[in-house]
Amino acid sequence: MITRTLFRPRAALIAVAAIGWSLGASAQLTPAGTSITNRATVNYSVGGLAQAPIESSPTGNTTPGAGLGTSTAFVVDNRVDLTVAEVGATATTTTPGTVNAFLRYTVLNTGNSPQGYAFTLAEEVTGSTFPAGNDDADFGLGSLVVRVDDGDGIFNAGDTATAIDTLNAGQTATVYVVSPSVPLTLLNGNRTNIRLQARVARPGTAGGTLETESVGANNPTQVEVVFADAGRDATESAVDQFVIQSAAITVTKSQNVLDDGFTTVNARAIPNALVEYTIGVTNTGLSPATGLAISDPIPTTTTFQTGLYAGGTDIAITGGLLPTCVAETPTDVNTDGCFRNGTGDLIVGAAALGSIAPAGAVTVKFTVRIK
Amino acid sequence: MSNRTTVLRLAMLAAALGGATTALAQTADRGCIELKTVAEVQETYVDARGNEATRLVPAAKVVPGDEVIWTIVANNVCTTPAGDIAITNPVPEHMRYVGSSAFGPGSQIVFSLDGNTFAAPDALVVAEADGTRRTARADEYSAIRWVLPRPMGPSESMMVRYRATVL
Repeated sequence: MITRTLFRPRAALIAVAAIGWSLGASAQLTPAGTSITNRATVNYSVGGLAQAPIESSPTGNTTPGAGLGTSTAFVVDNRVDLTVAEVGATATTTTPGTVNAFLRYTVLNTGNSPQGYAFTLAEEVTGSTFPAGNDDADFGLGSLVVRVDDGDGIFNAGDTATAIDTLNAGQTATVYVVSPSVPLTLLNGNRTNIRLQARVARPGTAGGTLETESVGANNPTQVEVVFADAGRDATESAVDQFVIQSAAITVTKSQNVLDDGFTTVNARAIPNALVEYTIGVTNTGLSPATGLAISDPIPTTTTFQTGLYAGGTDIAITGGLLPTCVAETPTDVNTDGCFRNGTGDLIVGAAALGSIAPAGAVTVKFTVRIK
Repeated sequence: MSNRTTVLRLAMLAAALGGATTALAQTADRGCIELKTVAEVQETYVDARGNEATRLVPAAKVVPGDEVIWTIVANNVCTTPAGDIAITNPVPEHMRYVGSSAFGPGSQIVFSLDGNTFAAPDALVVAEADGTRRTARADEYSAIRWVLPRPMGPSESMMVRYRATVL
């Protein structure tokens, strides 16, 4: 009879590897604090007579009878684990000046106990090209704020919390990283990568008290805290991206001598010659350009000419809201968007130009006479 | 709640209520087997020569996904041999038996799906919802029984062991 049989660690390790017990996202974990109890029973006979069964105890029981053993027990400890993810796998497009542009993330409590979460933000300047393109824009990291969704899944005024107070095991919370005002200095196509990092905190502390791993002797009757996430630091993160989608305006200006007083063919820019200027405005961006106004100081050596275009107007417009307009002075009396101000600048405003769609263009023509 | 837990609780209830007198009488008796259950986990450590090794430590820090090694030791504390020894252990609630992990020197190991009927793994059959039948998976076992085919002499002891994962 073998009285002591050593456990075979090598065999055990192989078995562990083969089982590969994994924790799926949907697995219902045994809650921390659950007491797992176990009691074995031995049936036997003496001299051919069946004896009353004996139940086990942690230290050894010899008293026969059902219920007279003592369970061997331990308490399931707090397995701290979490998943932070970016939602949608796409960048969030926004335009300069947008109020409350936001990125959307989720935090999933993959542990077995309610936890809180505190957040920090970092700009991923290098090393991340999510989803396409390096970080090349400064959103002003200090201006970005974290907001926790209040449960409706929609970013709105109700989302005021900056940390997760309590998230039950298996539950997901939506977290937003918000730019209160997208900087006006950003250009079409600019990208910025923002890493949201979540650190597990004690539940009910509004993220104020970070969870710590238990140290020292383990106690089978107490709930100890075990960090089970990657890196075992109770910290996980994910990257999302803002991409600027704005109008990108290109302006060109050309001149053409219409008539030098002697000829209209290959006319020369000599005094008294009529010169027509053409200003081209092109939107190479991805958003419509609105509120456009062209301002052109008329050269002091020239005189702005009126009444030369269709219907006796002063300016011809192609691709705009109006085909022509009149440049009164010094204010836009007829509100067609065109006038010459007190210092002689020609202004062609949005009322005449309208908005320019992406890849669209507007051309403005006016004529001066060389003094 | 599983059936086996219900059965166990009913048994305990019976012992607590109607069986009080009987229980006292049994308490006065001392059985011939001392039975002990120990919960341990395997820990990796570095030994004195700098090599990684494993050892068993009491199951104090256990989280879901961990394996617990249950060890049951039976000692014959009488001066006469004990025969027909069968040690039965339900797989604890919140745990799942790890396949092929049960062992017990010299004993036959049988398993149960319902906690009452025990059989060898090949003989345990599960009926699927669509009527097909298949051999039960190890993680479906609800109880384990070790049967010692020969008597255990005075002062002799036997140890059986299995592993189960915390769900």
